[in-house]
Amino acid sequence: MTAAKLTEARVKKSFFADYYFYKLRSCKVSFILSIIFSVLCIPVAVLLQIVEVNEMKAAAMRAAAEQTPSFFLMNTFEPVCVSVIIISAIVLFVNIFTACAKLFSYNTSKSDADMYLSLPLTSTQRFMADFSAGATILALPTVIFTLIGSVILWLCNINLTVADLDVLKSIGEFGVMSEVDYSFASSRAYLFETVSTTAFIGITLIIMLLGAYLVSLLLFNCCGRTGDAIVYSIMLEAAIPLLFGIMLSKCYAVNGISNTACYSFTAIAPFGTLISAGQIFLFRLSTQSMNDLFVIYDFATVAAIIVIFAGLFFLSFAAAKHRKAEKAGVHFVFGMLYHVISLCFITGIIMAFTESDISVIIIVCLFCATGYFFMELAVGRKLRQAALSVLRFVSVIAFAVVFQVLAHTTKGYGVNHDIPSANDIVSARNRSSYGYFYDLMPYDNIELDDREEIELLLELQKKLIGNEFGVNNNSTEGMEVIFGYTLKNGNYQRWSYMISNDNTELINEITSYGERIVTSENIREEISQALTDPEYLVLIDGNRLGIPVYRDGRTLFGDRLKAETAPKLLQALQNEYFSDDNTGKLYAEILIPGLPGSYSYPDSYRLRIREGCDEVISLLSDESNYCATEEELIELTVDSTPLIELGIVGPPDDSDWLTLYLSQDNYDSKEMDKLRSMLKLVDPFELGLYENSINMYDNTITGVLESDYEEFFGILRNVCPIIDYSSDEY
Amino acid sequence: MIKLVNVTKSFNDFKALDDFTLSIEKGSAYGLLGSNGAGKSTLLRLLSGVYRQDGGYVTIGGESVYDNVKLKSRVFFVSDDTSQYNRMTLKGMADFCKTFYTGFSQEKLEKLNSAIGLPMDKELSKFSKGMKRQAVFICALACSTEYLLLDEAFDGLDPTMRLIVKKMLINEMADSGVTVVMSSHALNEIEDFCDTVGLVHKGKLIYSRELDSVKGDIHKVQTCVGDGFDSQALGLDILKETVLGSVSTLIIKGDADEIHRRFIDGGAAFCDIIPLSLEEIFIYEMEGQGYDSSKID
Repeated sequence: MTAAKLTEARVKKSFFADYYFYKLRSCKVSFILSIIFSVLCIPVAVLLQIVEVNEMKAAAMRAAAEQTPSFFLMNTFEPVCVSVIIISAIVLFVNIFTACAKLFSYNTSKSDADMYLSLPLTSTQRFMADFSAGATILALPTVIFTLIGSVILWLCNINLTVADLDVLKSIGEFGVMSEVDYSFASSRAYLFETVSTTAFIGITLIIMLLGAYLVSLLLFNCCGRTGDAIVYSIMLEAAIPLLFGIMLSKCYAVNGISNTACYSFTAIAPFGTLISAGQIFLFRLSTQSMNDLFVIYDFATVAAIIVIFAGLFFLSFAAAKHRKAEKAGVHFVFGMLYHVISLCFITGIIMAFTESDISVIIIVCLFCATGYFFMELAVGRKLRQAALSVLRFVSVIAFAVVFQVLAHTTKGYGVNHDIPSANDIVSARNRSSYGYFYDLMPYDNIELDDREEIELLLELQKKLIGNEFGVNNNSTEGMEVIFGYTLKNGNYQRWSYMISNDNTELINEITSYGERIVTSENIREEISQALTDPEYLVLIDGNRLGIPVYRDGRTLFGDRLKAETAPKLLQALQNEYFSDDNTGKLYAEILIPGLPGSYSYPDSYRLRIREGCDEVISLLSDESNYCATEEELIELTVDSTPLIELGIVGPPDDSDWLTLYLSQDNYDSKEMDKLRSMLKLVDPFELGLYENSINMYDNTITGVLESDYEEFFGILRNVCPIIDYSSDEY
Repeated sequence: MIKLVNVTKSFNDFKALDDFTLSIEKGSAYGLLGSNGAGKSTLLRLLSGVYRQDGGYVTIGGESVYDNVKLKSRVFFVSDDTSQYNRMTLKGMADFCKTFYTGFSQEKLEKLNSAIGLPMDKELSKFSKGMKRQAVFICALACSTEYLLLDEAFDGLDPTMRLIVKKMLINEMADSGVTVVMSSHALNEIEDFCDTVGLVHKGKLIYSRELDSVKGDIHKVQTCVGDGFDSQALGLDILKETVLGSVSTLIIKGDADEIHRRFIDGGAAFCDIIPLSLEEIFIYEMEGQGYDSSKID
C-alpha cells in the first residue's frame, strides 16, 4: 500500500485530545508533584481543623468539669500543619514554572519547535491543548481536594457549636483558662466554620494558582528563554500589585487607606489574592467577628478576576498565534511586554518612596537605575540604545513625581473623600488599636446599626478626611483608628487613620465622639428598658421634668414640653422610635432625662425624631403640649428637684468610700461644698478607677467618709432626695 | 507536488529565502545543496509547517502547509538537531509517533530496527549522535507518511550506516512512493540517492534540475595544446582553467561532444572529458557564485 493510501485510510480530523493526553503524560512529574502537594495543602488544612475542633470541644468539656483545659496537642500540631501547608503552597507555585517550561518548550528550544510545530495540529489546537494540560496539572488536584475536604466536613458536621463557644468564653472570663490559652481558643474559634474556611482556603489557593499560571502562560508565550519567562513572570506578578497598590494608597493616603483598595488586590492574582485573603483572616482574628470570609469575593471582585484572567488568557493566545517559531531563544518576542513589566516594577518602587527624604529618593533612584541598566543589558540592549533607556527611566521618575504632586494637590484625586453615605450603610464598626489611648475608646469594636450612630461615625471620619486635626499619615506610632462599614450591597469598606500620640486635640475629639456614639448606642437599650419600667415614668413625672424640643437649632414652641406630656411622649417613643419608624427627614431633637443610676452616661439623651414617627411628631407639633407661659417655665425649672445617687464602692470592712453621682447641676452650691469638705478625697487608683474615668465625669464626687455620718446625710437630704445605688430606693 | 512560489522568509534583517520559487515532483528524491546559511533548513521548516513564510506560497498538493492538520499528518520532518528526543527512549518515540501519525507501524519499526539493532528502552540522551539519527530516521520511516523531509540526513552516520539508510529509503520509495526531500553536505550520498537536486545560495535557487542533467552539463576537460592556443576563443562556458606545462585542465559547462569537437577543431593534441562528481560540481558551481576557497592561501 502506498504511503498516500495508508494515510488516507487512517486520516483523523483532530489530534487535539491525543496531544492533550500526550502532554499530560510528558508532564507526569509535575502532575504527581501537584497531587502530592495539594494533598499536603488542603487535606492537611482539613485535618488541622478537625483536630482543633475536637481539642476545643475537649477543652470545653474539661473546663465545664472544672478542670484546667490545655491545648498541648494544638500547640504542637498547628505549627507543623501550618508549615506543611505553606511549604506545599510554595512548591505548588514553583511547580507552575516547571510545568510551563515543559509544556511550552517549543517556545524556548529550537529543536523542540521542530518536533512539536511540525505535528499535525493547528497553532490554536496546540495552544488550547497545552493550556488545558497546564490547568489540569496545576489546578485540578487542588479543586478536587477542596471539594472533597469541604464535602467531608459538611457531611460530618465538624464544627464548634455555639454552646462550645459559650463554654470557652465563660471559662476564659472566669479565669479557669490561662490568658494565653484563652486568647488562643477565642481567636481560633472564629475560624471554625470549618466548611467555609476550607472552601475559602481552597478557592483562594485555586485562584492564586490559576492567576500565577496565567501570568506564566503569557510570559512563556512572549519570551524565547525559560529563564526570562520565569524571572519576568515573577516580576509581573509583583509589579502590577505593587504599582496598583501604591497608586491606590496615594489616592487614599492623604488621610488614610481604604480597605476597599486592599480588597481590590484580589483582582490581581496571585499576590493580590494572597494579600486580600491574609487581610480577611487577620481581620477576622483581630476583631474576633464571624464576618463572612468570602466578602473579598464579592460580585465586582469576581468579575474583575474573571476579566483579568480572560485578559491574560487572550493575550497569551494572541501571543501564541502571532509569535514565530524562529523566535525560540530570543529574550522577548514582544518587546513591549518587557518594557511594561520592567517599567511598572521600577515605577512602583520609586513611587513607594516619593514621600521620603530627598536623599532616600536619590538612593532609590540610583538603585533602580542600576537595576534597570542590568535588565537592559540582560535582554540584549546595545549601548547605542542607551539614550532611549535613559529617556524611559527619566519618564518613570517624572511620572512618579507628577502623580505624587497631583495626589497631594487634589487630595488623592478626590478618592479619599469617597466614603459611603449613611443611606448605603447597614452597620458600622469602629476600632482603635495600640497605644495607651486604647482605654479612651469606649466605643471600641461595637457593631453600630443605628442611623444616628452611623452618621456620627461618618461625621468624625469626615473631620479626619478634612484633616482638621493635622493627621500625620507618616506616623507609624500612636493610635490607629479604624472605620468599617458594611454596605447594603454586601461589601465591606474599611478605613484606617494613624493618629500621632501627641495629637491631643484629635484624641479628645475622638473621645468625645466615642462618648456620643456610646450614648447613642446605649440610649436605645436603656430607654427601651426604661419605657417598660413604670418606676421610670413615675420618676420622670414625679420630678416634673420638662422635655426640651429643638428644631433647626432652636427650641420649638417656647422651651419645654409640659410635664404631663412626658408619659405620652415616652409611650409614643416606645411605639415608634424603637420600632424602626424613625426614618426620613429630621423633624426635631428632644432631650429626655437619663436613667438615674446609670453609670458614666450623660444626664440627658438627645433623640432625633424623623418624619416617620407620626405619633411622636403629632405630640411635638401640638403647641398646647408646651409650657405656654414664662411662669410655667420658671415653675417647672424651680420645681425640678435634683437627684443624687449614692454609691458605696469601698470594701465593707474598711471606711466606706462614697461616690455621689449628681444627676443635675442646679444643686445648692454651699451645701455641696459642705459635703465635699466632709469627704476625704482618695487617689482614684485606690478605687480601681482610672484617673481619666473620674475626670471625664464632673458630676461625680468620690471620697472616704470617716465620721459625722448623721451630719453628712442630713446635709445630703437637704440638697436632694437620695437614691441608694444598690437598691435604687429613696 | 511540492511548490514554493516567490517565497520570502527573513530573520530580522537577514533574508533566509528571497523570492524563492521551486517545484518538486511527487515521488521524487530531491536533494538540496547549498552553502552554510543558504536557506536549506529554512526551506525544510517551511515545508514542514514549523515556519510561516513572510511572503509567497508554500503548498503541497495545492494546499497551503502552515496550520494545515490534514497535510501535516502526511509530512514527517527530521530536523538536523535531534536533542528534542533526548528524554525519550526508542519505545517512547514510537508511542509519540503512533499518537500523531496514523500510518505508524510498530511492526515496520521493529523490522527496520532489526537491521541496526538499537536498544528500545534506552534514553536517546545516552545514544551517540549517529545512533540518535538512526532512531529518528527509522521512526520517520515507520510513520509511512507521504512526504519525508530530512535535514542533514546523513550527518553523524558512519559509511555502513549511510548505506543502510540509503537502502531503507530506496525500499520505502519503491514500496510506498514516498517523496523525500533532503539536505546534506554529504554530496556523494545525495548523488547516489537523489534523482533531482536544487542548488541554493544566499536564499536564492541557483538551479533545480535532474541529477543526470546536472552531471551531463558540466565537465572536466584535460587537453594538451600548443603555444598560442586560446581556450577562451573556443566559445565555451569555461568555469575554471588550470595550466600545467602544456597540459590544461578546464571545467566547462555544456554538451560533452560539442566540447570535444571544439577542442579538436581548435588544434588540441588530445581532449579527455572526465565525468565530475557532485561534490566537484558543487564546488565549481559555488565558485561561480563567488563562494570559494581561493581567498585562503
